[in-house]
Amino acid sequence: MLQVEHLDTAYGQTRILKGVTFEVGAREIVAILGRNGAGKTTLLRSIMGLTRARSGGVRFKGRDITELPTYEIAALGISYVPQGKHIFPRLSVAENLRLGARLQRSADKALRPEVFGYFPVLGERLSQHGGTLSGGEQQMLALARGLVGEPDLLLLDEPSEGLQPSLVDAIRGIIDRVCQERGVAALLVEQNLDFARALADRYYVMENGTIVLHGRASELADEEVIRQYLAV
Amino acid sequence: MRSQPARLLFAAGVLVALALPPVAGKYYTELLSQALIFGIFAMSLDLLWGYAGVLNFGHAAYFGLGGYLVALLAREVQGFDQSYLGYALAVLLPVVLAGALGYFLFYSHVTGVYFTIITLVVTMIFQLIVSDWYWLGGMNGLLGVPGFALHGPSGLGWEFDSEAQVYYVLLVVSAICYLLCRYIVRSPFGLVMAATKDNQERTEFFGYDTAYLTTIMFMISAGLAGLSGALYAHFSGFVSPPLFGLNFSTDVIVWVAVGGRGTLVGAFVGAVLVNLLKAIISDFLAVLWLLIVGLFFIVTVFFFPDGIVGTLRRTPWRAPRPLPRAASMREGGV
Repeated sequence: MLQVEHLDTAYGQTRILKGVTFEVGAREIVAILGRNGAGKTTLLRSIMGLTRARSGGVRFKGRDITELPTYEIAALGISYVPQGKHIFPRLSVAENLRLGARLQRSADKALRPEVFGYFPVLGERLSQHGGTLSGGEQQMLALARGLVGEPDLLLLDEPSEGLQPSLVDAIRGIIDRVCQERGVAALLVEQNLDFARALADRYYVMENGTIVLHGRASELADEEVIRQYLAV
Repeated sequence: MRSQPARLLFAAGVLVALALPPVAGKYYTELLSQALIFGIFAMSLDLLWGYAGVLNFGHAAYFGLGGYLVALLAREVQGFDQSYLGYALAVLLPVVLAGALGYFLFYSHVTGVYFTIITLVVTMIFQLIVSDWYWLGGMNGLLGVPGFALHGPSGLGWEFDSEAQVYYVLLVVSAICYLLCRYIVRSPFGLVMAATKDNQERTEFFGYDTAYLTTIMFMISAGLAGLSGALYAHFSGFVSPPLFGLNFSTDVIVWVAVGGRGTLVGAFVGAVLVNLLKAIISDFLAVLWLLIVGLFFIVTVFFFPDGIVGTLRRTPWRAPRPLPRAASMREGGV
């Protein structure tokens, strides 16, 4: 579904990604692990075309998307759910969702009941401004908005960040269900090892702009690995 | 979802506007007519500034272009009623110009202050051209633009001569323009513009070509500004280089800021209020009036950063936001 090959990205003189290569298969959940500053967010931004690759390439469903403008990449079926406050605070919940559905009223209408099945709380807050939601609700709105666009691939940047433990579990459950039921693939960037292990099929560990380790998520228990690459 | 008092205020405003001409007298009726034209012009800026977050500091360019086109056609083309053609061109040419500028600027990610500066330069270029080119009247401008008229086939038609007639014509045109703008900002397109204003990058990765959409908004804004310029030419009977001036570009920003950015109605409130104030004060303070109008502007923006209409909309007597369940999915809306 997604192939990233020898991707190099730099901010000015500073190389952030140094030849990153990995792939995400259809219906697969892949986790990218690594410390702060390893280049995880830059990787997602490069896939979306928000930060331009210096060399290397990104292929999605067999098509080279490296040079495409961001809005076309999104239209091809990649939903990016960035880190932190990433909804439109001054727009209502319903408007946020409509934007996610790229204004296709049919898609919006058809998908809403399903989406509210995953996120019942949003159905109760439709006319409320996005900015007035709690942190957990905003995260749910961001995920819901990613879903109504009917993506084939979700890019999730630390969906568990800053949430209380019970919400982390809820979000994890929802992502799991969504990917299972809708057959969506996901690329998950995480620092929370338990979260990633519970969700992902495979993992890659990034350090200093390169992939240093990869394997099956179920095997991601080696204390040595965790200490070496992930512990702060 | 207007509250009761807001509805009443709106209805009262409409009634006052309708009843004005006999009460206000010729002078003030004429002044208000001009303020309505300026209100349409200000609303066109509000579309771009208030709803797309793009400040055009040379908005007079499109007003002036509309006005000059009408005046030129009136002088050069005879034998048939050229006013319809004038209106069409006065809308079309600004739209094309804005499209070209938008294509070169927004697609190259020239936004914010840089966009503002470039628009400023554009209107100054226009001002230089019309003041130095004799064919365009030079500093004297172009005179002899006919007044408002509606001509049908075979001699049918109306000419609007009296101040009151002109006023009502402009009132109707203003209402149509307002409804059109309201439709635009509440449409799905308006929603994406609001999102772009909020966060352009985010809107981009939802799959929207924000440069394209901002260009469209700029074109609509310019077309409406051109129309107001055309109305002005017919209204005043002549056009001159100050229509392209920096002062005029600043004036319209002041009207929008005073009335309330992102409200549409505020554009009219600002234009009427500031022009009325100008007229009244300049009557008895020949020198100091500009200072006082300037002071009024500073005070308004300082104490009411949302403008008059924006502040009124926030006051407590407005109904509280409906409870979540009352989401009432307007057909195609929300």
